[in-house]
Amino acid sequence: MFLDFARSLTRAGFSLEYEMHAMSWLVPRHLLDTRPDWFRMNRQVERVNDFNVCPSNPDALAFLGQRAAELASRLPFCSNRYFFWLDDVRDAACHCPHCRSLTPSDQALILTNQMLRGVRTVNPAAKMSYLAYQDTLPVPVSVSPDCGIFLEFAPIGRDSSRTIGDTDCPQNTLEAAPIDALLGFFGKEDSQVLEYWIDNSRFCNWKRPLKPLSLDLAVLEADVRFYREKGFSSATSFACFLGEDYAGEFGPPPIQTYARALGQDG
Amino acid sequence: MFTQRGLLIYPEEVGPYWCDLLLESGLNLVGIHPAGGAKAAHSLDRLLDFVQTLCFWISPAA
Repeated sequence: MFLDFARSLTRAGFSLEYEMHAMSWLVPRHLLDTRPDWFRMNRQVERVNDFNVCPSNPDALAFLGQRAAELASRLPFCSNRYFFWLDDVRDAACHCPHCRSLTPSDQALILTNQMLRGVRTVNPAAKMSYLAYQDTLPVPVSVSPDCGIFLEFAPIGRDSSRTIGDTDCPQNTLEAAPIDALLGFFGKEDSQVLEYWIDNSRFCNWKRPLKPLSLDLAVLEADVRFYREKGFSSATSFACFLGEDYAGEFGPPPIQTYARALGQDG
Repeated sequence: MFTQRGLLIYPEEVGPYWCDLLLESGLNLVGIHPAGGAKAAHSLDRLLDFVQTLCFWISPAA
């Protein structure tokens, strides 16, 4: 099934990519038993294996790079762009004495740089996304991106009933505030918006039963203009909970309408 | 226009249905996104099994 899917789409000119919260796979949590120093220190000064790792530990970084290379080598048909994200939570940074002065974005970029270095041992053309999302929305302060790191911006806290550029909407103003600085820091090349325009899982609060997707075309089109004017080069959206079962219940999802809106110029 | 225009779907939803929708869409990018959260490592393991053994096992409890 996957082989047919991947072959058909890549032959038709599609890029196929994998986007995932990979940290708990890359550095398995059971390693806390033997290498507690690889894991983050929480605010109570305890080494814990709940989220992420310690970005100041050289052995943890070396292991992370090796595992990132292994993961990349196991993703068939993948483009040269990799999306190995940190854990999907807020307040998951390391508070050890070496990391304490680093912002969550700094820590994320250290880990992202290291993953790219690892992946480049098996794919020299690899690029890696820095996911600006939740605690890592602000621009890093003390760390610079390696060549090949590109920005991925995912405003999960936005109000999807209002345009992302709506300055009367506090949530959207907050999410969009760092965009210019992020694009200045990471550059516009390969920069990607990861949106929620057709994310029916989010609209269903990630729980079934399924609900009919309500695509707000006016918001989508205004957002596309906003992101294009900012200089993003690519745009995607989660499209989860729109599978065959959705079509059986509510009819086909509005993918062509969505695609036409993304394809608009200007 | 954006150079890359796409969407992300769950590995459980990969198949002819999405393939046909995508081929007629005008998009040019598809991302496969295993679920995150507390079971992220397990989800990723299942994804790797799926893309390597070419069949995706869906747990009744999922």
